[in-house]
Amino acid sequence: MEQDVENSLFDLSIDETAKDHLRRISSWTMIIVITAVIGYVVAIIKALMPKTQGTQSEGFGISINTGQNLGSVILGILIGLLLNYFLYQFANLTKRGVNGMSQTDLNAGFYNLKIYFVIISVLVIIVLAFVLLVLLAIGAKAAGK
Amino acid sequence: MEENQSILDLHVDQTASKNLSDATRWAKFLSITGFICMGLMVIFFIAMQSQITSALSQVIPGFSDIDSFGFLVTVIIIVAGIVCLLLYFLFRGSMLIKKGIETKSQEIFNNGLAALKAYFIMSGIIAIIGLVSNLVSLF
Repeated sequence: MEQDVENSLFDLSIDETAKDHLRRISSWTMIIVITAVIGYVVAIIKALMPKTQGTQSEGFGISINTGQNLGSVILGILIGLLLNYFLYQFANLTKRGVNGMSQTDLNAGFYNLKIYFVIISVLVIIVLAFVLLVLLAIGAKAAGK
Repeated sequence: MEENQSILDLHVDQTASKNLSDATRWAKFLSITGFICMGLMVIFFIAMQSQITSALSQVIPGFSDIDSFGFLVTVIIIVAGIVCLLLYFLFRGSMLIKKGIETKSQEIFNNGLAALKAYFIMSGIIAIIGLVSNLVSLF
């Protein structure tokens, strides 16, 4: 018990400045989550709309609508929802922790931030590996000609 | 009295510092990867100038001249600059938070949180702009 008190005396504290930063971070992450969810709804609507190719638009020549298929949109949304769930948890728990002076909630908030960054990093690694494979395939094809 | 306040206040305890250190490690990885990707993208666009111009001239009429490509490169450099600024905030935030935890410096830790705040504010603004442009293109 005494050890805990001693530790907390030497720990970094979440002072008023840090609390203010954390509150702002929580608010903005919540905005990001809400924006992303609205964006997913728009993406589904767009994917369900009939696709038009090479439509004439005013003043900017031809606008090309490539049209995404519903499967890729749903996959993107599922990955996005997973990411945004952790971002939402981070925002919610951190705000609750700071406002309610709850160390447990604050720690859970930081844990969710960690998971959020881990998932993005893993996705980036997968995408980079895929790009590298494609480049190697193109290089091998060009060398074979 | 102040000592009691400090005991009852929120702290960056062992669990929090471990979670934050892990988060900053991944954030640092993301920002460095982002910087490298942005640099490679700009180099790629400049190196593949002729191929990109010919490919785009088939899609967009009147895109064959060098001015059009110059405009495209300018847009790409501006976008890369915005992304690099965003990544800089993430990098700075991750470095300072980690350093603040290691050295137990309240000022450095708070500066790290400020940089992370700037990162999330900028991300939020970009997300709002993206959503608005998405909604505009819908109608």
